[in-house]
Amino acid sequence: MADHPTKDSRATYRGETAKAVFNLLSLLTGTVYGELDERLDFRTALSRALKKPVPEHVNFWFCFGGITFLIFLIQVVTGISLLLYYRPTVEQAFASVVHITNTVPFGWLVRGFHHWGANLIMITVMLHALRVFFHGAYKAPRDFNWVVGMALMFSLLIFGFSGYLLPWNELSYWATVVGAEIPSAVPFIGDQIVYLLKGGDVVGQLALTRFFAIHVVILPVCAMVLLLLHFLMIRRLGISGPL
Amino acid sequence: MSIVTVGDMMSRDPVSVAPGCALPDAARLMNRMGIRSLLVKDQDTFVGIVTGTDLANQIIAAAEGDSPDAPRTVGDIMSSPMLTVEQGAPLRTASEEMVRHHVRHLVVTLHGNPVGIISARDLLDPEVDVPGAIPFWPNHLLKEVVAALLTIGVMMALVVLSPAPMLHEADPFSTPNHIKPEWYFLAAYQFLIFADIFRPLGEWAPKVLGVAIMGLVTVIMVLLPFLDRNPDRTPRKRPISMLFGISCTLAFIGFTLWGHFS
Ligand code: HEM
Repeated sequence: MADHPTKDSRATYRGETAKAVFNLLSLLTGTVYGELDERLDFRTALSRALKKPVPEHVNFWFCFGGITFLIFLIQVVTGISLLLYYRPTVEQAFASVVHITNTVPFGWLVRGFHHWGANLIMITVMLHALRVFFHGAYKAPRDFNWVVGMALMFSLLIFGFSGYLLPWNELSYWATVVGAEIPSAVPFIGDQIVYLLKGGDVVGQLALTRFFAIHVVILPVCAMVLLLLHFLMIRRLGISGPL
Repeated sequence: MSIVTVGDMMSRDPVSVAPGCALPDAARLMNRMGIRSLLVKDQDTFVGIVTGTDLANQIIAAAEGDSPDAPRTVGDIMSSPMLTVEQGAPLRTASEEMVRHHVRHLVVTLHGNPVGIISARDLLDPEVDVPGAIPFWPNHLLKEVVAALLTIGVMMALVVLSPAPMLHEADPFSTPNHIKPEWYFLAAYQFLIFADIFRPLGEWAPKVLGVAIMGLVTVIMVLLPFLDRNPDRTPRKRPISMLFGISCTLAFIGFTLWGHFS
């Protein structure tokens, strides 16, 4: 059909070029990927995902969940980078943070992003929760996703609390000493929680080790499971409709 | 306005047969390919379309009429000329055409040449025809990218203008004068100080009641969807949860500011 040049042969020509490029790419990738796609049909899934219509009422307020996720990813990347130099011991923690900030190339940048990310993510997650609240988007069938969201919010707060101690500076140390006492008001098991958290009667090496483990292993794993649940439920239920 | 086009949902590469094709062969071909329509192609030109319904009608006619010159080939029973719809037309056009002509298949054309078939079944996806919607790719994604770049830009500016603080090393033996938690814990911290008003009830009261009240509000927040059973989502039609939400927000802001300035 395109063998006969028509009056919009330029457009056709461009279309043909695109098709040729696409075919070439398909040929190249298809050698590796074609067999797999025949079984899994990713191409259809991908094109459906890309064509998914975004309704008109999705406005500016709906972007805060996504921005929160973006900052979460930034925290993961910068956090792993900091791990390459940070040393979680009472003797060396502070010195290693000074080293990161002043000596390691771009250390100040990575630490700065992690620091500001931790603060901004609290703002964006609160705005996100407020959006969900005022839109009444927490109501069934999204009720369980609200609960998952709340669990995410608490994990972010604990991220903040545990990460604050790691530089082992005067403020972080004393804020932890005071903050770690708060669970003692919980009836019956309050003192046990405090002891578990600090690993002893004072905030020392064991507390630092535990906060470090919570901050870099335990919470990330929990948060990723929660995020997966959150996104699966959004995908399954779709975004809430207009008010 | 619809955003999904006929081309998005059609089946590509329509299967065609010659007009001389025998009816059982056509039926067999449909079954093997899992389709319910075939294009009829005479030499190089498409001349019609034959569908499963045409074949079924033919069986009924044969059983009732028993006429000697009963049709034997696709060419005898095909619909011609074909009903067509352009590939770039909105999906809605296809459904309107089907309803108007009482058919379930349309031939999809590009500049008049058949390139696919769209059947009523292809219209069943409830997601594809949302009025006023924009496609995720590229329209919505572009907005997301703008928001992401803005976020990174803001972070960059903050990092450069106000670097992460470098204080003194912790000294367990000297307590600094002002111990304050991070700003997002300030409201809770200030509320615990405020809870000192419960001291007349006993030495235990400030801490226990302070933590208990915050715990209660937290539990209400977490279980909000199960406590607020009002199905209405409009803010004006759910005064109680609005009152709760706005009070919590204001209290959070108020105690944070109080904590910051005290
Ligand atoms: C790490 C924290 C979180 C991330 C990364 C996150 C991410 C997201 C994203 C990307 C969406 C899609 C819609 C939108 O962006 O507005 C969403 C929806 C939702 N989120 Fe979150 N979220 C988080 C925390 C929370 C919190 C704290 C809550 C509430 C307590 C919550 C409750 C919900 C609900 C109910 C929806 C569905 C809203 C609807 O369908 O309109 N999420 N979340």
